[in-house]
Amino acid sequence: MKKILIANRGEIAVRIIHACREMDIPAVAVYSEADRDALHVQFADESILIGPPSPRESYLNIDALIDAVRRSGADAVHPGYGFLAENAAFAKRCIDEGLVFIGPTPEAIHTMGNKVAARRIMENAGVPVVPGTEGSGSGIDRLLEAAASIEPPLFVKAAAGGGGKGMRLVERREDLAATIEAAGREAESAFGDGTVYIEQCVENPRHIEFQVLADGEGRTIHLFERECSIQRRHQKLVEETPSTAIDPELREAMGKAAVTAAKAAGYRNAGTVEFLFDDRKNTFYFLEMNTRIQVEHPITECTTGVDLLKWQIRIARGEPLTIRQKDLVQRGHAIECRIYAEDPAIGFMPSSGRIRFLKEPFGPGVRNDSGIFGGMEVSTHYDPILAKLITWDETREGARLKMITALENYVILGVKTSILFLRDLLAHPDFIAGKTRTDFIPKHFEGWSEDRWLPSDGRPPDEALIAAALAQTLERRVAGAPGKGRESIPTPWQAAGQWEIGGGA
Amino acid sequence: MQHEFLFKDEISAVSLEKKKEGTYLVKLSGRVHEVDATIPAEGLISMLIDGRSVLAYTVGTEKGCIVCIGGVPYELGDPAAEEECGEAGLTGDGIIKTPMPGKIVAVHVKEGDAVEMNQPLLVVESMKMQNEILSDVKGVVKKVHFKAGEQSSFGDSLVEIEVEQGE
Repeated sequence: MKKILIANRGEIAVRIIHACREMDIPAVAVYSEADRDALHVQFADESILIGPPSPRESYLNIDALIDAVRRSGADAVHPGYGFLAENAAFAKRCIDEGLVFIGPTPEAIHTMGNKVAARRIMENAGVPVVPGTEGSGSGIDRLLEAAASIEPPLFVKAAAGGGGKGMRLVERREDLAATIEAAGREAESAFGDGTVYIEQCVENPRHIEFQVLADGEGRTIHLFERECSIQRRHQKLVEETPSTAIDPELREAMGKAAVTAAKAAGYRNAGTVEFLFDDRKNTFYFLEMNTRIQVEHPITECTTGVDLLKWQIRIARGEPLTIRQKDLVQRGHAIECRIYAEDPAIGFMPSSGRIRFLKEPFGPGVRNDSGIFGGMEVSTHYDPILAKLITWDETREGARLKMITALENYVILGVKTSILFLRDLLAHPDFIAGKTRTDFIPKHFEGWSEDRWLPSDGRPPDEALIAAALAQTLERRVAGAPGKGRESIPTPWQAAGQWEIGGGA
Repeated sequence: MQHEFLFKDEISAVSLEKKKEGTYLVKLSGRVHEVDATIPAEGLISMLIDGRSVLAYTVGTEKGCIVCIGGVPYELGDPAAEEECGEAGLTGDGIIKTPMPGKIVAVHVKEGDAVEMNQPLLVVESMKMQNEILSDVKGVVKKVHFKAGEQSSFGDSLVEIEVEQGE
C-alpha cells in the first residue's frame, strides 16, 4: 500500500490521516467546493477537489472519487463512516479498479445492509435475534400471518433501512396492515427497495454494541462492548465502555455471539455488531451489523490499547491479525461525548456559522478527535458533528468527572453547540447511577434550556459584564469588541499593541 | 467610564475606574469590585476579581460580543447597535431573512399572495434538517427571491412582504 485516498471529510478524515502518517503512508484528502478550507484538507499530504458542495455531487459521487484516486496515484481507499462507507457498489468499484478497499468485502456490506438477510444469517448461526418476520416479498397477507404470533408493540422496518431510518412503531394490531403499506411506499421512495419486515419492539432497551476485528483468514476477535443508549433522534450522543448493564458472564456470551455473527457474515476488517439488551429480562438480541469504522471507536481504543484504524489498514494490506482474544483486557473506563453544532433547546436543530473562537481541552486522559479550527465556517451541507471528546480514567466516576472538566474547558464561540447540554447530562443522577436506556434524553431533558446556567435573577454574572467592559477598555484595537463593530483580524502591529494593556492608548 | 450591555432585552451598566496600570475599581448593580486584569493573548482576559482568579474568553459579533466564563457563553449586545437595527426596521418590516443558511427545498407562496402572521412561507434544509420559515407580518407577498433547489446564505432576504397597515 503506497498511498491512501480518504473518501470522507471532517473529524474522521483527520483521524484516518493520523493513522496513515503514523504508518508512513501518504494520505490524499478529497474535498467539495464548500470544504477548501476544511481541516482534513489542511492536514493531508495531497488534496483533490471532487465537486460542488452537495454530497451527491462530491462525497457520494463514485466517479469523481475514482477519478481523484487515479489522479493522485493512490492504490487504496478508506471510506470512513457515513457517505459511501456502507455502499457495496463503491467497494466493488474500488476492487474492480484494482484498488484496495479498506473495509469488508462488497458481499458482506451488501448482505449486512439488507436487514432481513442479516437476520436470517444470524438466526441460522444461532445468534439470538428479536422475534420477527421475513420480508414482505411474498405479500402483505403472508406478512400479517407471520406477525400474528408476535405481541404488539411492533416495529415495521425497511429491509434496506438501519440506524433508526425507515422504521415505524405500531401499538395496535389493527393498525398493522395500513402501516405495512405506508412503510413499504416510504421505503420504496427512500431506499429504492419497498421490502419491509416486522419485529417485536423491545421497549426502552439498552443499545450495546461489540467491536470486532477479522482478518479474513479465519482470525476473528471482539474488543468488548460500547454502551450507546444515550441517543437523540436515533443518533448517539454519549457512549461509554464498559457498559454498567452487563456482568462478565454476559459480556463473554455477547462477545462470543458477536464473533459468531462476524464469522457468519464472512466478515473481514473492523466491524460492529449491535445488540438490543433488555436489562429487565437480561436478554440480548442481534440488531444489525455496521460494516465500517464507528464514530465511537475511540473509547474502545482507550480501554483496549488497540489502534483500530491502523488495524484496518494492516488487515486491508493482507497482514494477519496477531492480537489474540485471550490477550485482550478492558482497562479502566472511557466515555465519549459527541460535540455537535446544534441547539439542544430547540430540538437539537443544527446550527451553522463561523467559529469565532476555539479553545480545545487537554490534559491527562483527555482525547479530542476534532475536525474544526478557530475561524472555520460550519457549513450547512453536512452532518453537524464538530468533534468527539473522549476521557479515560481508572473508574467510570473518574472518567465522568474528567469529562465534565474537559467540557468546561471546551470553548467554541460563534455557533451553538451541545456542550452545556452534555454537562447537564453527565451530572444527572441517573447517568451517575448508570441507568441509561434509550429513553434517557426524552425522559430527563424534555424542555431543557441553557438558561438554567444563568444566575437566579436571570442576569449575566458580574464576571461576564466586567470582562465585556474590560474588553472595550483594554482592547480598543481588537477586532469586534462591543460597539466597535470591527471584524478584521488585527495586523501583527495591532495585535502587538494588545499586550500593552492601557499603555499608550 | 460607563459601559452598557444588552442581555435578553435588559440593559446592565458597568462602570470602570482606572486605579493604576491594569487595576480597576468596578461598580455594577450597587456592588463594587477591585479588578486586576491582563490580556495574555487575543480573546483572553485573565482577571483577579477581589483576588479571585477568573478567566474569560471574549469575541466580537455583529451585535456585540460573546463572553465565555467557566464554559458558559453569554451573548452581550451593544445597546447602541440594537437601536440602529430597530431604526432600520429589520424586523416586522416584511423582509423575511434566513435564520440559517441552507438549501431552499420548498416555496409555499408566490408574488401577490396574501399572507397571515406565522404562515409558512418556505422550507430551508440545513444539515439534513428541514426548517419551516414563518411570516412575522400580515400582508401581501411583493417578491420571492428564491426558487426551490437554490442555496441561501446567512442573512439573505428570502421573501419581501408589503406589510398591511392599520388595525
